[in-house]
Amino acid sequence: MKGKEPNKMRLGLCSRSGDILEPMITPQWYVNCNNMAKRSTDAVRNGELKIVPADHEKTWFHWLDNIQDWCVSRQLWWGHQIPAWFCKTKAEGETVQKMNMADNDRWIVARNEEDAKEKALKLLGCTEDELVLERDADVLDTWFSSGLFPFSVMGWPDNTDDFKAFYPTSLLETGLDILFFWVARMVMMGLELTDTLPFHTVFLHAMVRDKEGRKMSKSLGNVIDPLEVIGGCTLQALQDRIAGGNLPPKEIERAKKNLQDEFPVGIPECGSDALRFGLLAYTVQGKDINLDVKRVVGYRNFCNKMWNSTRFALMYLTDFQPTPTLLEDLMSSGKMATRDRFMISRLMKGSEAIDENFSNYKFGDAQQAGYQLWLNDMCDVYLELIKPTVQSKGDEKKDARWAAQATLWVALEMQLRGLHPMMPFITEELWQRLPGRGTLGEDEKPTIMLAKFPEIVESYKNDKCEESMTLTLEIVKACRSLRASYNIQQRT
Amino acid sequence: MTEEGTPAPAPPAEAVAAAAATTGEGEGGEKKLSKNQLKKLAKGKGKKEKKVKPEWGTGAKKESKKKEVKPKEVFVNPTPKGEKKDMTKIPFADAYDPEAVEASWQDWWEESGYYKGDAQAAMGRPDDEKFIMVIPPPNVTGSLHLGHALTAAVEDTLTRWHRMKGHATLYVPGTDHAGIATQSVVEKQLLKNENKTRHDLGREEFIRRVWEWKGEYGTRITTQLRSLGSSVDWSRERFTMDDMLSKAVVEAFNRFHEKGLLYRANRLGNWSCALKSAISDIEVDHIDLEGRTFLEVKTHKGNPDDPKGRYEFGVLTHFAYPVEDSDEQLVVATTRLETMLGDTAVAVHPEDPRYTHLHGKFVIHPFSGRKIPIVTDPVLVDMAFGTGAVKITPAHDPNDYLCGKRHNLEFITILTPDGAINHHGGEEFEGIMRYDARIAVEKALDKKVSVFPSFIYYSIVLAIGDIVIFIELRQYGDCDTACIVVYLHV
Repeated sequence: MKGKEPNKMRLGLCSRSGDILEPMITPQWYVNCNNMAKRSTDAVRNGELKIVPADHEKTWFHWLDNIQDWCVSRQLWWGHQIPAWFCKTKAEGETVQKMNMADNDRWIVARNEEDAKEKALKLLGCTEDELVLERDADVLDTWFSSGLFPFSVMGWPDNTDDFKAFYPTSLLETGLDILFFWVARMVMMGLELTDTLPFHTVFLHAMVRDKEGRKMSKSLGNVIDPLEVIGGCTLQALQDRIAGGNLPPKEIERAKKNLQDEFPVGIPECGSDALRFGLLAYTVQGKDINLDVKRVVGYRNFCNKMWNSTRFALMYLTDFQPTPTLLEDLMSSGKMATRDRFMISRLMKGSEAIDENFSNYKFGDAQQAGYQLWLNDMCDVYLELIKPTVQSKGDEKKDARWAAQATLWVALEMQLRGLHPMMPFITEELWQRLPGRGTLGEDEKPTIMLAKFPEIVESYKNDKCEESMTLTLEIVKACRSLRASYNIQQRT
Repeated sequence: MTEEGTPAPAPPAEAVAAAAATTGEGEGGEKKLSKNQLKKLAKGKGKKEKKVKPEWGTGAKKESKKKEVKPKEVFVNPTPKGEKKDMTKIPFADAYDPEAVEASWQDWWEESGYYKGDAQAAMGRPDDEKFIMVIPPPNVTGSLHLGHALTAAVEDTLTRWHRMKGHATLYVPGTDHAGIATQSVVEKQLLKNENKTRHDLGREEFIRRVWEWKGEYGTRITTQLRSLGSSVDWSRERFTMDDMLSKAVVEAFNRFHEKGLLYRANRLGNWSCALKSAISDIEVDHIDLEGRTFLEVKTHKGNPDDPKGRYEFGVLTHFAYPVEDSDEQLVVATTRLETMLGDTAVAVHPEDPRYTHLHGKFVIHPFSGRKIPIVTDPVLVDMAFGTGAVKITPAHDPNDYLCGKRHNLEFITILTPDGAINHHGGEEFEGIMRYDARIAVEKALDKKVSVFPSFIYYSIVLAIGDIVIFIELRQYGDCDTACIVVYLHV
């Protein structure tokens, strides 16, 4: 013994038990992944498999180019028991043992016990009476079955209708933390077993952390159940949930304290639409999403705005009857004012932005496009501009009034469809409430979720009207600011 | 909140609130403010910011302060489950109430079969008119958190968008049996409620309990997904332990075997002594120790030398192996002293002039008396580190394992599956848990009186061009006098 000195080091802990890991030599089942890994990297290199965002390709290559054989057995009870049997004769007794590597050739892999028995009898050349057949007690690594998921859910290995119709799948969307453990294994297993890529695109979203950038962890009390945001939750209920879990008392106290600091009055009821819309807003960030639940809560107010403005707009539409081809009718009516053309033009561009951003997996930008269109273009500008026209009852403004009503109806209806994928509930409810619903002919769908996503007509875009509208708004703004500077009261 | 780099950052909550308040129908009867005030507030300049911030929570405290806040009326859903909401009968409420708005639609969409994938219709269609996606199956007994909600939001947005574009659409839901995660949860619960381990129950009964647990808690996720509005085809909901998926697992295992890709081998891997199982890399958390650190080890009875019973980590322990038939000693250093019980070699660098004379010789294990070869290994050994001599435990260290393979060394596993020293570790230590064994080995080594004249205490290696200079500090016997030995190696 010659003394000790402090030394920096890294310890591996078992994430399930917290125990310090031990490197041990044990007999396990392995899958040779070399060829599968090569095919998986080739697929990305030759563009057959697309990884979005593309910077994660590096990680893909790094892992798969340095692939190790995959240890697929686990000494657990819960899982798929390994379909392998150890065989020997009664006479051999303890001289042949399954943990003994010298007897490794006594393992039989089979699809069921019957087949295993048959193979064993052949191998040992003994009678059924003499045979000792024992199934491996171990189970398979969880990732073994989830690696088959895209085709096992379709009925593989049977050539079912689902398998024919729905395999390979289109997209795999997940968090980037399981790119290797899950995504790579699906690709490897898919290529090896079905000779097909299980999907042609992988979209990886950033990892959600709390607003301080900490990983979501039960012991920090920052794991929030979506239902607690959707339906709202008191602080007491949040803390009770923590207390009811499996955490040690010390961690329960810490988690409770954190909840108390973060949500002193609980979480307000936000609804699913606001939660989804708020979460999508966060996807513009890079690697990690530092999620502040309060910001999600803020989007509940956008739902409120949608509700109130639709309710308000419907008061202008009480005597309005839409046609099945309202937009075309409106555009060819010759009755439209600049403001109407502006609104339709903005609608085209806004809907197009949502569509394009969805195509490029830019959900934050899509969300913003929908948000700005509703709030700025429709509520702040268009609804204000048409007030005098739609309120007038006289005959001289009849055409202008119809055009404004039709534009408003089109604007509401099309925006609801554009927002539906992000906010399914409120858009359905408001869409169902639009006047004329159920009278719009054969092509009218019973639900917004089957209605067509907004289609863009290039010729309906109108830069000139938008420019002139922008100029008008600038003038209005300047006047208002002058009025404010000179403290001139508004005449009522 | 980090919003830098955001092309069009979403407004802060206050601004959204202010926007909502312009219609004068914001919740909670906030005082109406002029547009200018609101704009100021929206920009965050207003002093009265707090007033337009949405007020939430149902705490009794708040209600006593703001008496005008009416508690929300209990929502009674007039629509029978699965039926379409009749908008002609439900008045357009004054204020937006998410609970009322979101009620019934999910059930009706599902009941109407709008989520259902149509295999016949999808079969002939080109790839760009199809959108098929499987859910990343969450742990069946778990509960979704906001990270999952983000996944769901992104996935369902894409699915609904494609469906509205008229594409053949299928979004498959499912859950994962999540081996270790689920087993651990049920085991913890079993210990907490009944003070039993899975071994007390036996395998069959334990598995029955896990299925029971799944039945009880497995619906949480489906409830959550339904609340989130996920338009998954519930008729195709799958669980990785379903018969259909289990059949696929057996088939895959057999096909790998038939293709010669599957084999059984004895290799070094991550082992959890607490679980008594091999575990995958994803189930490993790492902690970095800056230096000497005391840690609690749950599977151990506790270190009697520490008031809190914790064990010492982050320490490099130096000890010496006597060279066979010689007065010399080889000093090695390790952070895992107990593994010396399974040492089967000491490695030196082949070009290290300090040890050239020892190539092919042996050291003697101080406890077992086993002859241990001195091997040369340029891959593993860094001449400049420590004494340049490295103890090799091929059965309990990944680098040593590879070294063992290169030199065809003996692999001695010294631990039982639950982490106690086994009979290979020697009678003196057998049955002692691994970190208790660390202490025991240290004490036992201390007792071994050093009868050898010298050992290398400290060494520095300097490389100047092709010239390598070794400076060594040697100690002789118990004498503190040190001398510097310089080797020149050209």
